[in-house]
Amino acid sequence: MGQSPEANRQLREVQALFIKHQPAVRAMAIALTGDFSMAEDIVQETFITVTEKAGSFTLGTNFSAWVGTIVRYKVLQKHRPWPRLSSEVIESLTAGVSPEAEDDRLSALLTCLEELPPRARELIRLRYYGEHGPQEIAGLLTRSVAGVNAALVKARDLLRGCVRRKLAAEEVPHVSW
Amino acid sequence: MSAGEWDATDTPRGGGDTLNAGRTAALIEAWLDRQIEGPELAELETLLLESAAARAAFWERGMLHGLLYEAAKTADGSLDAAVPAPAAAASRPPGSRWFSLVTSLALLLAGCLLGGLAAAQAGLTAGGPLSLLFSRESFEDGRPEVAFLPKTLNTWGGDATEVVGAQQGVTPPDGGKMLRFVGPSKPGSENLATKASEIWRFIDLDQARGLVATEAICVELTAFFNDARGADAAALCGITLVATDIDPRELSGEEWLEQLTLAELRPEAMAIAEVREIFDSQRSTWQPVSAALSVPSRARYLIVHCWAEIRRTDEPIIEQTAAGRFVDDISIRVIPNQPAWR
Repeated sequence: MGQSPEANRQLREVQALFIKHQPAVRAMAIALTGDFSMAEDIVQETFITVTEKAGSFTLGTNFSAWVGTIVRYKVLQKHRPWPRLSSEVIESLTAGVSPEAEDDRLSALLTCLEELPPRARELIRLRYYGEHGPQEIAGLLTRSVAGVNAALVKARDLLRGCVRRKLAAEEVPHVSW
Repeated sequence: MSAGEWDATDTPRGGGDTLNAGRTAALIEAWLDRQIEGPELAELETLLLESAAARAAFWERGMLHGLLYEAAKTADGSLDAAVPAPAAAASRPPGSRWFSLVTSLALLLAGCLLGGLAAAQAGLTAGGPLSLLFSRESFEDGRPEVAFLPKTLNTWGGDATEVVGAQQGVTPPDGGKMLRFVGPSKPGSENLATKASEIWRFIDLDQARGLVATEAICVELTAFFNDARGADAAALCGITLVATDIDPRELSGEEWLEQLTLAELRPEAMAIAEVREIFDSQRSTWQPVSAALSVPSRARYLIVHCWAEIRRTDEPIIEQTAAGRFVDDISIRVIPNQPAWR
């Protein structure tokens, strides 16, 4: 209310673009902060900024680059808990990088999760669904922390390889980060 | 935990970089699991600043890590549940407000989303039912207008309040400011208005519906409260959501709330959700209070109400200024009751 129909349409289109890019925005924030909860805050704050500035975005231009700039700013604004990457490193990492829509990659990842060996799947569930750190997982599974670390890396390696294969098989252009 | 204990084997694309790929991968993996120590973090940062291949490796591993969070939430039903469901709070810092918030919202939304939950899970977003933040107020830029009701949409108004920094053992949860309830609106009688300090906000539901591109929505309100006096005072705080087709800006005088709450007269457009809680005794933590409301299709406006009891009826009025009750981080989220896009 209070906005012209054209402005409302622009707002909804920009918001729809954000929804499409939301998984990648969240993933980018998680990678840069190392913190699931903080990343969620950044996603929500980015959405607010996108909504506020929707009128200044030109539809048809590079939404990923635009929203990537907002995410970088939000990350830099945050008081990030230790361990944290310095502002200089975040600037360097995000230069020229933007959160492309990741529908195909996410879909492939979901399929690959189902193909993981049961123990690896259990580990991924604890780490990402339960949001447990390696120490907590080690306690839950009565394993060593080093063993959990190694198993997590192994599981992610398996998933990364699986996703690559599936994207290649489907001839989906590989999104380069 | 040393990054040297990791066993990453993947090889980043190196180009002309003289990069120890295995070491870089190990450091990145350690960073992603927050298992990195000071010297190793410094080593990783140097690599990331100096090597394009290291940055590429960071994004390849970092994006997988981030998308796994998204994917795991989506695939929970199909992921192996051989181990007991983990408690999300266990990985969060002591005093974290998010776990209790998530828990309480899950309970609230269980009722709110009955009609649309299955459809939402079927494909609205990869992260489960879509919940989008409509607004968040942390009072970093000023206090609500001191007027009984706000004069405009999307602004706060209400009783006497002040924006303050940390004081009386209470620290704002985010940023440097929080809102302190100062005074009631109508001293002299013995109802809520005489004991509580209140703030209000009116929202155009068309904007909320536009956010999720659907008519059928739920709205959830969360506010964080704190009481400098501790549990001895046993005071109340609360929030209210009112959906209505009456433009609240057109209301005035003492009858306005009565007009709105005569639900039996406007059953098709009215809905109210109200939650009251007793302040806890922990000044070091903020107390989340949440309410969710399924918005009737004919409702045009949402009224948001936050309040704190600042004196008991038998307390002298001077106590209003002797100790503080605070609110901060008031967020309003919108959830579609049916999928609007896939």
